[in-house]
Amino acid sequence: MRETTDAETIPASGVVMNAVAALEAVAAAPAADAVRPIAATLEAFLASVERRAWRVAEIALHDPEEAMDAVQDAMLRLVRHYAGKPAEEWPPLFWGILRRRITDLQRRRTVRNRVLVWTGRATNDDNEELPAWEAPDLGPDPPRALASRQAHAAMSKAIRALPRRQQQAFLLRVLEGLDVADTAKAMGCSAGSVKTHLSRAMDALRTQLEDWR
Amino acid sequence: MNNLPDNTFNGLQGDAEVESRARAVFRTACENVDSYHALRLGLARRKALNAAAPHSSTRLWAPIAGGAMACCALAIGVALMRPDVRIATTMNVASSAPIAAGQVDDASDDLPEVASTQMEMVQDLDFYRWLAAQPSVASAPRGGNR
Repeated sequence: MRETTDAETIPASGVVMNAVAALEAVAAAPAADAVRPIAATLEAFLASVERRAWRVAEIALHDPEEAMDAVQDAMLRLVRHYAGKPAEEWPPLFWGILRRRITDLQRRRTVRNRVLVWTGRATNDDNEELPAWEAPDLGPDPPRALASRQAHAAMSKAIRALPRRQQQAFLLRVLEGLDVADTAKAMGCSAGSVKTHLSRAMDALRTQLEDWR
Repeated sequence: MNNLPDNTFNGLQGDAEVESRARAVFRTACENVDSYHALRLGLARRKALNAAAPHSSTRLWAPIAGGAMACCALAIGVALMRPDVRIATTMNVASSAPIAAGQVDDASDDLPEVASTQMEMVQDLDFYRWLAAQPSVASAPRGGNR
């Protein structure tokens, strides 16, 4: 099911304007800055992180199924190779695995798209871009659900427009809430690099998301 | 971990607000994951945990089972290669053949090692002794019936 197909639900020129209205619906939500407790078991950790991981992968890949594959692969690798590690080390390890998996899929997609464009198979016979299937709206409060989806879609689109490393820094540091040290571990770089990538990401997002304020 | 106050952008009110709202949007999206994908995430988690469990136990037990099987094979091979066991096995086969009750004692004295293919000769040993004791047969000229 494709829940955040922003390209289909929102015209490209109206992304930010729609996001303004949508954000009003979620602005009243409490701050998400609370420190997350350390999971006692690996299963509890995976259960606590799986939805956020899938959303992060979906934002980065813009494909729910590929995002699901990436999350499942990250879970499997964490359990197989790092189950014996202390629980405090699971978050940066898991997010590091997921980040590498997402990067692999993005690179494969880049190659695939080049091949498809080169062979002319990315469009249909009328030279139109092939449509994507969109999930029906089954939420209990359709207007609010739509507003949330539009806000998420606008944010996802803005994040996807960032360079890869800035994207990763924003997703891990701001949305997932890892601290600088754990973000650096997950990204495989220094804390200074994380701050630099995040600073540039915020500069870019500030202009795109000006209407969020 | 997760100590967000060390964020370098919290000093800027605008950035902090953008971050806060981005988190709110993200949290709402996570809470509103549709049931289909929520179920699939749960299944993926179970699959990951289950896939790891037999893998680790197999990794533990495979060398032990392999070693045990190798030891058994070695023990059986050594046992079969011992000469006394081979003789005993052969004798068991020989003794299992039908032999007349009165011939057993005499025959066992004269037979150091008997193969199963020689059993007919063993059974007719008295005949051959009698034949050897016949002077007429031993000294008979060739073509004597003429």
